[in-house]
Amino acid sequence: MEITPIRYSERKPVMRWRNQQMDVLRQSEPLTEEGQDKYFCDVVSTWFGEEHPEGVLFAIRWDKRLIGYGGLVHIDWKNRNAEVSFLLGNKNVDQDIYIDRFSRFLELTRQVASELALHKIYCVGYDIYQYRFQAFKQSGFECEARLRAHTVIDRQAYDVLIHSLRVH
Amino acid sequence: MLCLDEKSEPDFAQLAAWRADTELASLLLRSPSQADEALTRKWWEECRSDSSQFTAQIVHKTDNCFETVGIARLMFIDQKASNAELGLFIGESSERGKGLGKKAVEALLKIGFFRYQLKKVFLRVAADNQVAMSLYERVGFKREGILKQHISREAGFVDLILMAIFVVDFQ
Repeated sequence: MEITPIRYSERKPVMRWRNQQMDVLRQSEPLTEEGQDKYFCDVVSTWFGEEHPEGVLFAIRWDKRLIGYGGLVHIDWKNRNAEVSFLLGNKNVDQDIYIDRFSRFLELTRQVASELALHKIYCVGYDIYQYRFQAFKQSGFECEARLRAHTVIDRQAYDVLIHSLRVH
Repeated sequence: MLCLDEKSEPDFAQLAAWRADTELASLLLRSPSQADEALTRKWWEECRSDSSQFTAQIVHKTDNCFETVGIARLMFIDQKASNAELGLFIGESSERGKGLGKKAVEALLKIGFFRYQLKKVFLRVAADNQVAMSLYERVGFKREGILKQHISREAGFVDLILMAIFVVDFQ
């Protein structure tokens, strides 16, 4: 797996993936091309020039092929923590492959967080695809919160889990 | 008596001073605001025009006197999931410890549960803010998680407590 800072040219696959997987994202409306262009120009691109950006996003490649994106978002520099974001483009990927890719990405993200001198990283996930939480176990994350019936997907309430890892 | 005033404008100089207060900001898990009166007005207007928020002044009525003592908010109102985050503060330190916070939380929950038809209201509170945690527990909030060493203080990191109350548990 290779991660590289996300590029403007990668905004369209990101938009497509997000719109296909809105059910597991905190996204209530489909992204539009215009909105996505603006987000990458006005928000994402500014992060790369800042000493203390709100986020850092990476393109994720496997065998040189773009398979997803993710990074650290909601970086709280005062409290030195950040949320891990991760999305694979193929939502029907085999469970074992998902766990493997996610675990590798979590390790790379831990290294990034360490470089940024963050104290802690955490990940917010819906309790709908429970196999995905195996990646947290493998990567040393601990479940610190279960927010009961906190989100609704297809009219069904699901818990939201927060897994955390102390970096420093 | 206490009520939530969602119609009138606050005293923006007072509100700016509260939002700049270092101790209060620490309790509220944010940095002190640098905003002057004009920027505070802008912040207030943005809060009020945002349909995913409810923002009101906490007004304490005594005899013929009406005094604004703080701000109460429901944030991130999620109609699909029927939940929202609660946040409030009593601005004047001399007004704290008089039970106003509990009454304001109860008034805010009534608005959340009955006007917005929410099923759940949640909040975040630092583990070193025992007064607030105790208040929330007395109202009926229950812990849903402890984010360990999540908040940085001068003396080191402290835990962040996540609490919530469901409409069925609200009396």
